[in-house]
Amino acid sequence: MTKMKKTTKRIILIGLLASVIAGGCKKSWLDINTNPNAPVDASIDPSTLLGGALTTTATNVVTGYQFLSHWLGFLNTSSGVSPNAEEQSYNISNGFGAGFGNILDNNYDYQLMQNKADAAGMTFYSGIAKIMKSLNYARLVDQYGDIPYSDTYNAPAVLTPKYDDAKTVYEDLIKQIDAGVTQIKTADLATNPRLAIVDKMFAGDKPKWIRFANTIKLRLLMHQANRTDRQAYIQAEIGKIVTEGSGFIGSAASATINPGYSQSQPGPYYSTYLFNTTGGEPSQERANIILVNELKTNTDPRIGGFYQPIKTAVPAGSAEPTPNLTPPNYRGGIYGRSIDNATYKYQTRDFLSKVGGTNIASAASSGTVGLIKGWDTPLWIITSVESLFLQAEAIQRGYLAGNAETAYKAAVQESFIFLNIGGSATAATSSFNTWYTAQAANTKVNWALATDKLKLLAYQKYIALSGVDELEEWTDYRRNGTSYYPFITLSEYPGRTSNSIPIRLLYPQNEISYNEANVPSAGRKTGDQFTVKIWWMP
Amino acid sequence: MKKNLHLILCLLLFTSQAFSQTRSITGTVTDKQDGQPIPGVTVMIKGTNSGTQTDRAGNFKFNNINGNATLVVSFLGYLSQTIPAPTNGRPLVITLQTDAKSLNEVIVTGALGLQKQTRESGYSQATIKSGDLTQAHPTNLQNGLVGKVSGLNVSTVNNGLNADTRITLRGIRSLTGNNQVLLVVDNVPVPLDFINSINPNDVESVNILKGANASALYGPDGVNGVLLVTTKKGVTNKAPEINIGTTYQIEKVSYMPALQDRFGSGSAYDQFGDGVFDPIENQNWGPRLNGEVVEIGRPDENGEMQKVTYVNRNDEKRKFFETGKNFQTDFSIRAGDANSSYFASFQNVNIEGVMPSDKGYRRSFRLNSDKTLGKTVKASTSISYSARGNDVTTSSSSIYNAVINSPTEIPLTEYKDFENYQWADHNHYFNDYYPNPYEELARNRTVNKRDEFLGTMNLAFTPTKWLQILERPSYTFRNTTQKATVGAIFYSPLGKKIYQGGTDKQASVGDASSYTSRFQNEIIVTADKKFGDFGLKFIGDNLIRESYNKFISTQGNTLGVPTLFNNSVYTGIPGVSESNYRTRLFSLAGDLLLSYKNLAFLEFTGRNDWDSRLDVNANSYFYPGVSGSLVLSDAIPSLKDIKNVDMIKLRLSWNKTGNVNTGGNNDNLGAYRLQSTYSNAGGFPYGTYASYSADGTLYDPNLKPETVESYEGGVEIGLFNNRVFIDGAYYYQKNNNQVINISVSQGTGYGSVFLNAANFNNKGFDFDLKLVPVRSRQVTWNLSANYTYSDNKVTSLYQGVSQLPVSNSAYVIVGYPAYTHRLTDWLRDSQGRVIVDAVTGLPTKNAATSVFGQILPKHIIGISTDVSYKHFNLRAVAEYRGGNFIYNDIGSSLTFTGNDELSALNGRQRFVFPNSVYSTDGGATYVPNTNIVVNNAHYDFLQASTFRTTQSNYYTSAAFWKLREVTLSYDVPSQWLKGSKVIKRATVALVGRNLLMWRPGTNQWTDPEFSNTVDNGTGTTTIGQTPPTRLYGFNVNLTF
Repeated sequence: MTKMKKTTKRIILIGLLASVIAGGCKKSWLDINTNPNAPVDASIDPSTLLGGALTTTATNVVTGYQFLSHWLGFLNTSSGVSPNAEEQSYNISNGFGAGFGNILDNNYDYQLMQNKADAAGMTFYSGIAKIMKSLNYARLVDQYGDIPYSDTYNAPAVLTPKYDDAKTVYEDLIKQIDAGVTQIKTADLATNPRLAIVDKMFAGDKPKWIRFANTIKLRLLMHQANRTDRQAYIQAEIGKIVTEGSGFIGSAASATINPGYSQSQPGPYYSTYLFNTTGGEPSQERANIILVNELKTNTDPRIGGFYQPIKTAVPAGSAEPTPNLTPPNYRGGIYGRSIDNATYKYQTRDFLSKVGGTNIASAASSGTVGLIKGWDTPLWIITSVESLFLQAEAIQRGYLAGNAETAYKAAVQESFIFLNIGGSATAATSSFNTWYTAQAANTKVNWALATDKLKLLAYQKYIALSGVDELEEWTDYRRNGTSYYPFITLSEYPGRTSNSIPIRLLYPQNEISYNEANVPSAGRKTGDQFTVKIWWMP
Repeated sequence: MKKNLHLILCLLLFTSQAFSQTRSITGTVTDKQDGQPIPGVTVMIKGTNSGTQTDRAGNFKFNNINGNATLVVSFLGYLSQTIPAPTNGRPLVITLQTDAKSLNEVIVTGALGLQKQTRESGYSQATIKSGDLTQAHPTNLQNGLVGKVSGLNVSTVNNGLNADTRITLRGIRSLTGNNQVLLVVDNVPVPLDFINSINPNDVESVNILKGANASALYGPDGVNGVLLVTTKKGVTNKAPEINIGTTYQIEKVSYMPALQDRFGSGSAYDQFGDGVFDPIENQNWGPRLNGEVVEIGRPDENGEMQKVTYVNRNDEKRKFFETGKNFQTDFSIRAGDANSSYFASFQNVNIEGVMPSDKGYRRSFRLNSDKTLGKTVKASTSISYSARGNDVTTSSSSIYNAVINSPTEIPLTEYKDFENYQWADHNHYFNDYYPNPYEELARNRTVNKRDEFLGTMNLAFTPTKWLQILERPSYTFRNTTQKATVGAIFYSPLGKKIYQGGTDKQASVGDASSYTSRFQNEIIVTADKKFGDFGLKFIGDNLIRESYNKFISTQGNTLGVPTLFNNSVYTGIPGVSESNYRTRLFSLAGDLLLSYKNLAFLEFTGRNDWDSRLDVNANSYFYPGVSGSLVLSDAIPSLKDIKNVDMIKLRLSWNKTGNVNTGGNNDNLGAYRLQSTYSNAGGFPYGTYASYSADGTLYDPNLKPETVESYEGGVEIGLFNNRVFIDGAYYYQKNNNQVINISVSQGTGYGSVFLNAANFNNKGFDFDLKLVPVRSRQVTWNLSANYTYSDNKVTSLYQGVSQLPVSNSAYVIVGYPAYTHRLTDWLRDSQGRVIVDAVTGLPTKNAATSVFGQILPKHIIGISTDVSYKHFNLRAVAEYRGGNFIYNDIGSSLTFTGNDELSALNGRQRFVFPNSVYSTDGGATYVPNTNIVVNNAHYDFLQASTFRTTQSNYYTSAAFWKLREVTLSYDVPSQWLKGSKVIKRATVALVGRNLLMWRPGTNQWTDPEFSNTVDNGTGTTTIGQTPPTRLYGFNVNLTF
């Protein structure tokens, strides 16, 4: 009896101990699954998204389309183990180009910013999101035509978003930009915390944002200008911009962003073409003979802005394998020509021009000429150069009031200023004037002599946007047609499959694999890149 | 030998003097396999009723024994022995051999460390005892398991000091999650890679719980089966026994990939299609070797160039690798008094790798002790600590790449002294594109250190005979530090002309440190009571666990003082990262075993887990199971009458468990996988300007465990007086609600979504056969064989998604086994013939990939033989794996540089592509090609164009036979040692590992067991795995 009791006691004691331990296991003891390592939705607000999203957009604009600079004549791969056969043959696959993913990824951050801003009544942030998304979506249409648009960013409810008609998307983008402008106009900075700090593009300056938005609208409308069925629409929309009254991006007022580039965190243009962070040369990219020879034909002083003099002179009297014109200190290579050092000795990197600008590791200084002014050169999303060319074209086409010749000259002059030819804005202006006067007999320069003013505008815009916005350059090439650009020669790659440059990209394999029901059949397969037009092509 | 003769003579003399007197004798009985003393052994004097039993230390004693008496030594589970009583008065050492007959009576350790008879279990489990584990003296425990048990697949996926292993049982249960076994050491679950810190000589036994059924009490932790490692304990009432052992092994590269030996440096061809010599190339597309003197590299400061004869020096590549050395010293002591005992050990392992200047060490300590307090309490502790470290090159794969891809005529080993030899330093080395591998070895170093501690305590309280309460707290922690350094190279003006010399190489240093701990407490209540013919056994278990990990690293680049590898001399912006993880688990488990007449058993198990990794409002999951066993030979007595049948047992079981697959691993513990995250936007932060961007994966916040439903049936049969023992099991598993990370349209804002969706089935068959073909006084031959068949099939993935990439070329495809290769192939006609162009004769690569064969082996066969003759013992283990395939990306890399044997196809002369067809009507019909030769059989076809990137060219069977272990040991006869009075036992052994391998001739690259990952995407060998090796050496073991 006593023994039994003792045992029972012991068991009860142990039982109590066990229940104390078990009782310690409250719900809160298990509620520890909050990520301490990375921000989650709750810890992110619009101000922590804007700067990165803008910087990513600018990086995509400036460095995302190197293949176009090859196709259209600005750059060329000088040497390397194996050439990019896919790019050089124009026989692109579904994996070619990164724009699809880059843009949709970037726009998701704007979308999240917009959702959060709407929930918190931050209308300025919301307006910016709408404008930036529109810029990006238009660039997506310009590459692929129909795109996922109205059904995007609704996961997990929608994992297979439908594709929308490209023209419908374009028209809706104009409406979205208008909505964004309205929000910005009425926004109170006090209810949009930290905007002036995190907005490294315009620091929350309303007029600048609105002029930026109007310039995007003008760009989108000009894309359609060669389609006769769009004239009334364009007129009406431009009428609205004029009524709005803020105007467009003006001289020396490019939409640029500098999040804080430094030697250890250089801007992408600098780190892509000049030096990487350890001081090494990051790129074998050199000048393409197409633009080099055009600049030389026109005795264009901007050659020193787009390119650098070659490192090693070609020995006098050497057989010149490439038809580079004089002067011999700037040279370009021929795209697609086999990199064979024995046969084409002077197609190697030391004998070809690098991207123009500084060639020493330094911050930008006021006197630096060229595209790369230093490691802290701001990146641009839309330049004043393009804005002025768009306005000149609109005037010439009669959409906007004004003198087309004046607007044309201002646009070309803006390119001189952008490249800082001569080392200052004043020097650039006088350099332009001297050159324009000297080229009075040149039909590729002089407005009065040009028989086709739009062709002249297109030609000078092509030169001005080289290395600045390759995607816009490609869009112009496609909407104006090859007859405006006879000097753009084709790839010399032996395996080239077509006698024309692709007019679109093919939908990515991922979309075909994981959203098959929705991806349009036109634009999927090899060959479509030459035949399936983007909607605004005439 | 002469000395031995003296010894024998002395013994003989002594023997005759002592003959035919009554006297007392003493002796010790030990287990032959593990050398452990056996208490309770019956020792009888033949023909009499007098006898005795061994005490707790295995000792026995007779007084006044007759001169010519014979002893009969017997014990349940062992073969009896008859021995003439010694007449010299010296103590006897008797070793008993396990009797296969009584396997069914054997007590094994099961889930939670609870002991049970094998006859009670309704599922498969196997035991490997220490003697079988360590026969070939492996450095790592897992190597001792290979080939010994059915269902077990241990793959060493690479080579080197930190060789990784993948350990699975019975195939896979998760498409994307963990499929490797749970490791439990002294009843404490630990991360699987803890296995590398275990001293194999400390291990008493490894119990293998093969399926979810056997490990039901471990719940999701044990879904992939369990390796239950039990370390050696002390023995009560035993004088101290000291064991000292030394093992020395050498390691040599066993073979290299098949390389072409006809062409030297170059990367272009002339108008005749012949290679052009290039003195600075790393590629082998040059002209045919001709024995003439050629100049290589660039001119030095005096305009001179290095001269070599243009001959094949492929040997140099193998000579680059050193002879590895492995030196192992062991020390252990065990002892005990009436109510306490202990076991303590120390092991020191020093390793020099086959990669020049790679070296490492492991030092491990252990103390296991126990004490009985009064009648009701027993306390025991088990503490182990190990310190591992190594100093290895950081870039072994790029070094291997540079070694094996150096041109055929290069005298590679001449460049070893890169500081003094004029052609070896970075300004003069011949190769423009790749650095001298010897200099790279010295420049890129990583020093790793890892300390690991495991401590556990068992407090058993037995208030009454039928009840036991066990309290078991345990703690493990691991501390790792790593320092990776890269030396600077500043090129001279001459060196600047070299392609890769254009930019100086800057010094950098990276430091990382990680701390991982796991605290766990377990209370186990066991009740065991008999009611007439019926028995009832109940186990209740409560487990609480907290796991924690912290990681921090720094990276200093472009060091200001290039020879001081310290983060404080960084320039630019230093890299910093930090992560912290914590998970908790609370679980209750119960096990009820009902028995009838000790021949029929029915067992119910249940476990409920509350897991912090799942949504806090839905984190409770219950996992039930039931199993039964019937000893048919006891139930139906007539079966026993059948000649040569000893025992037949049937088993059947079902259970449903889970697999908490939150995409976790040892470091992140699977925590925080329910919420999508943000990370720094590209390039950010800039100074104090921070910004974030949404990451690419959307996590399902309602993630549930994957479910695994297992069915298993089996039979055990003992025949011919148990000289034949058969164990067979069939299993079928339904794996549903598999968590997959499916790629989605980028229009969702994400690249992929992590959710429960897919289903697949897994089935297989395990078969073990143990034979004793010869059992005589002098010769015992044990032979065992095992066969594993495993297969699975994916039944569904997600909405219209039919395939999922895992990694490398491994895919999960509906209707196929997981994992299946998807590779690029030639364009073929409907009959599978390669389509070539009617003009160029060249085949075309199919832009889309095609489905090829399975990655996991379908068949595994293990064979072990163990022959004892007098004092000699020869053991060998061989293993076969087959039915699977491998993609050798290493071949593609070697073809790029023109080194691979395939890169010299037809001597690089034009040829008709084998098994090819062409069409002259635009693809409507195809004509067999007998005469259209490829228009280029050189660089353009093999290297630059399609051949190298058509993966099917490097796809082969992964089948192999390997001779895993061979050991020849000799037990020095105990009589010889008696003179020394100190040494009780001495053994010498010759050991070898992976001595031979056979594989199909098509696989000319490397060990098909290798892979560039231990995760699920195996089946690809790259140039990242240095060549396979074989080990051999000797061991001396002394017991005092």
